[in-house]
Amino acid sequence: MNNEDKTDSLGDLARDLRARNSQVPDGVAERLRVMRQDAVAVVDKPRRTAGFWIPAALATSAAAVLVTIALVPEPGPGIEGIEPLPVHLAADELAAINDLDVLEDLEFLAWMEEEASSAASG
Amino acid sequence: MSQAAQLNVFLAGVEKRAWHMARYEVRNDDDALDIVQDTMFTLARKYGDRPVDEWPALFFTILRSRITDHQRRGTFRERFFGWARSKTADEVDQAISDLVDEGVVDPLDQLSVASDVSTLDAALANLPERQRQVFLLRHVEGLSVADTAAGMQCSEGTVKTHLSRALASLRQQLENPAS
Repeated sequence: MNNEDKTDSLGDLARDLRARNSQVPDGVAERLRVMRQDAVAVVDKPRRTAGFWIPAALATSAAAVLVTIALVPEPGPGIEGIEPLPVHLAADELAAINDLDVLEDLEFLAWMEEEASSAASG
Repeated sequence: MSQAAQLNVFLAGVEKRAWHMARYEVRNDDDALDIVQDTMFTLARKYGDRPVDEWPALFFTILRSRITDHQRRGTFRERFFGWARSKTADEVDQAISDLVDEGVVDPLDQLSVASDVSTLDAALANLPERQRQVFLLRHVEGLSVADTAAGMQCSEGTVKTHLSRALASLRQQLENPAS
């Protein structure tokens, strides 16, 4: 038997093997059929394009914002017995409070001077 | 014919042989089915819109990749967790039959070989993995050298080398099955 004959016989055997390997047990064939149908169904489904994903992303972002707003707690009452600081005071009002303290100090100093001078004259 | 219908025809024509091909490597019917299923889904999902004549090479590329992944996972599990579990009787039997399949042809198996195809089947089991895959893709699936190279992710020269060695080994085994 020369090399060509051997190759031919091997080719014949390969064809026979192909035919043999095209047969599978019934249970395997059924499972393969179901798998194939599921896989082909993937191709049948329309692909979702940017036209789907962009509105979906916007809707998700809006929902996240709404949920965040709903979950953030309202500012509660302060410590019992102490009024919470009025958070709406403006900067100039805060400055005025400081000025009042200074004015009170000045009045006290003036009173001290008056007392001292009246004690000296009296 | 729609793309889905063409894919159905293609997969129907190739699925059974793909199962056999996976089974040659993983030696387990269910694992081979899982591999074929994964291959089908990947082809449909990623390449379902590609030209039909590209499907054979793509299908066998994915199939081979999944087989390799499966073998790597098996090697990892065996290396790191193999010591942690005792083998069941079935697993011991399977391991023994695997050892026999690796290289030594059992004389009792030879008695049960009823045809030349079975002899070729046994001879294929004795080939190194890449030689076996090249032979199956080239001679059983009928892929071109270029498509076989694409499926094997190697050069056409490598395909020819593997094929030449595979044919020489098969011829030798078929002429002298007991050796």
